[in-house]
Amino acid sequence: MHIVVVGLNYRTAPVEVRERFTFAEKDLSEALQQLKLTKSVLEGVIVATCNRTELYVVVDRLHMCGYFIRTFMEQWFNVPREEFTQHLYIYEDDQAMRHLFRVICGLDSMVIGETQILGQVKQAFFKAQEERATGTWFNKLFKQAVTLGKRAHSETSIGESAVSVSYAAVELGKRIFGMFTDKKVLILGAGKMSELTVKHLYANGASEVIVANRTLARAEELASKFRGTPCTMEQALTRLGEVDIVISSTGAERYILDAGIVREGMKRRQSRPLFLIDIAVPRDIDPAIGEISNVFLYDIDDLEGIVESNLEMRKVEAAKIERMIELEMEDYYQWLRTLGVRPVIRALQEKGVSIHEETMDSLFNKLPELDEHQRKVIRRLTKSIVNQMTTDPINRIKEMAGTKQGDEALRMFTQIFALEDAVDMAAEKVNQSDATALGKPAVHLNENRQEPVPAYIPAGV
Amino acid sequence: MTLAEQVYEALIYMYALSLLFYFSDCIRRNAGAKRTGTGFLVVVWGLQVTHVILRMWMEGHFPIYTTFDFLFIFSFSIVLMSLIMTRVQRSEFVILLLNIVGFSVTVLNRLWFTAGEISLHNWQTVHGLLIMHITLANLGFAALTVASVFALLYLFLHHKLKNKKWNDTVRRLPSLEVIGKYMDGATLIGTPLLGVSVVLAVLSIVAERRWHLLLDLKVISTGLAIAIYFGYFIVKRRKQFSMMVMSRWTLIGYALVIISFLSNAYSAFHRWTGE
Repeated sequence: MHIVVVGLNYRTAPVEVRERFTFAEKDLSEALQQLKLTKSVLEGVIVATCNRTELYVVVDRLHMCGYFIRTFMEQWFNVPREEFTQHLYIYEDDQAMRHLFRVICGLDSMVIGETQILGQVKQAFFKAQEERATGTWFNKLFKQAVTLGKRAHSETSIGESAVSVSYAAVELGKRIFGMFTDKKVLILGAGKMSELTVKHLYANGASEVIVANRTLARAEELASKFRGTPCTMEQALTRLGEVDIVISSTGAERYILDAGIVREGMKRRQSRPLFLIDIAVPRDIDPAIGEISNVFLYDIDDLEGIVESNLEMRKVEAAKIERMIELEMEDYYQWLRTLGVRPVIRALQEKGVSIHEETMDSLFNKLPELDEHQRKVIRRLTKSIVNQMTTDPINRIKEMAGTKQGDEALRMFTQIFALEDAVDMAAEKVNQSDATALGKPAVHLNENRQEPVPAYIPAGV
Repeated sequence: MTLAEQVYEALIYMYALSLLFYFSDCIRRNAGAKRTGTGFLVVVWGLQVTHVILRMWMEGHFPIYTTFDFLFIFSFSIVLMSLIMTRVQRSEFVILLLNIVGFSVTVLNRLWFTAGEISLHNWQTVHGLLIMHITLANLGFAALTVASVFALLYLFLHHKLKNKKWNDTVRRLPSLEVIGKYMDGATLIGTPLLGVSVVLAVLSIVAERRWHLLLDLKVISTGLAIAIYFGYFIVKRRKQFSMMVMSRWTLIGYALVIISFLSNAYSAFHRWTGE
């Protein structure tokens, strides 16, 4: 069996294409059902966000699976394949797994390191589980991916720093004030950029917003969005003593804030610092103000410099996550290698239990004079013999299953202990216990097609 | 080498390892190194406790009377405070700086002083006062060390932000406001402790009528330091100066505390017999 991902994203398809290939929330169940019915598909998860539509599938053969998935897309979206084939990417096995891990960690996102995708993939997986579209392979893989996504964000700082100018201003403010809960913000010029910045500050708890604009009507309009106070430019300049953060973005030709005004304001501020953000071009705030004690002045270039530095840092963190991904892939392969051995071990253990039970019944029938205590002792000791006899073979086959000759060893083991008939039933039980461990009901793959539950790993994976 | 000395040696190695891992995390983010550094710090703390217990067992009293003991308890307080700080976010650099101080004191203590037993028979009359004086001075010293570390960080972050030098260190430090609050808090705890410790010392001078000691270098420098710290609170209350000025003030006060400690060699004050 093979893991395959077929999809399109913001890099391979423009928005006018992507918008034709979205799955509405209400249609997802039906889409998953249909995907399950697609030829060659054993398990499936559909990840659909504004930036990507991806179909993750476990297929029983690689050959033609791309064709079958494209057929599914053609039928579902009612778009001829010629119109979307050039936008599709198909990754198989290693690449598909790595792609899923990169996606869930935000490394494949437009804004590298964003966290939203983690929740989206998790939801997609839960939905597929709910629709019984996942099985042993994807239950393990997606669970591992979600855990990795969480670890990537908690163990590295990939998502910590701002990657937009407006957020950079907020991040800077946090380095000065920590929290904005008791801070007042003054906006000079009610432009789009300053609105966006104050929106972030407000969302981070800024207590009061004062909006100053040449036209008071626009100031009132913006102030109403943040339950703020409108005022004229002249009034605003007299209020420097009471505010903590000033965002300036007017269209003025000359500086509207000079050193004299700020010095006067600082006298009234006592020991409190003042954070000035000048996002206007040409600049609104005299750069000489930056020299005044306890005043922190940042213009648009400074903020862009911060964004650039943060992006660089995210790249460094991304490299760490790539290493984590490689380790996770190795873990998954390790699990895959033991996947085939688990039903065999279970079958052997069950056989041992069954033989033991039968022997005990026979023994107790022949020796009815034994009391309860004697029976218990005999039962315990004979059970111990069975366990001791099976422990070494079980440990050895676990080790051997991970080697190149693993398949051969498993076959021999099955033959020697005559477990051929018991393995299939044991595989079903292992599958059920895996699903229970994930907190979900047991998943039965492709019931309509009566395909066996995967128990052995094909050599190709 | 006694068992207590062997434990002390071991804790130096553990401390060095802890510091190494913290350095590694501070140079380049490494959550694993930070965790390991904290783990070693816990071991250091455990070894310090073991050392004290062994000394108590061997000497029959809590080891507090010698310079060695004073510095040992000081480094113990620093380690304890660092462990408490690990619960605070963005505290890596604070812990690193605190432990550079703690480690230096631990090593120099080993090189310069010995943990030899001292005779206490001369001190019986002022025994209680002496213990209180040493304990309060020690705790005050530790709290003011923490305040100074925050003052240093404040100046560093202020410089970086003022000059728009944005880097990963800036990202990882607490905000100026938070650093300022911690600095205030530590100074607020350390000043009265040191103050009461000095009052006890002055009371002993008065009780023994050794008036000349009031002009002793140690007494003067400690008095000046306390005056600076009290001045800090008056100025702070009036909100006259920015936190940057207050940070410098804190560091000057701490420098005087250090001078006071180092002036032991030139001071007659601690050649105190209690007679």
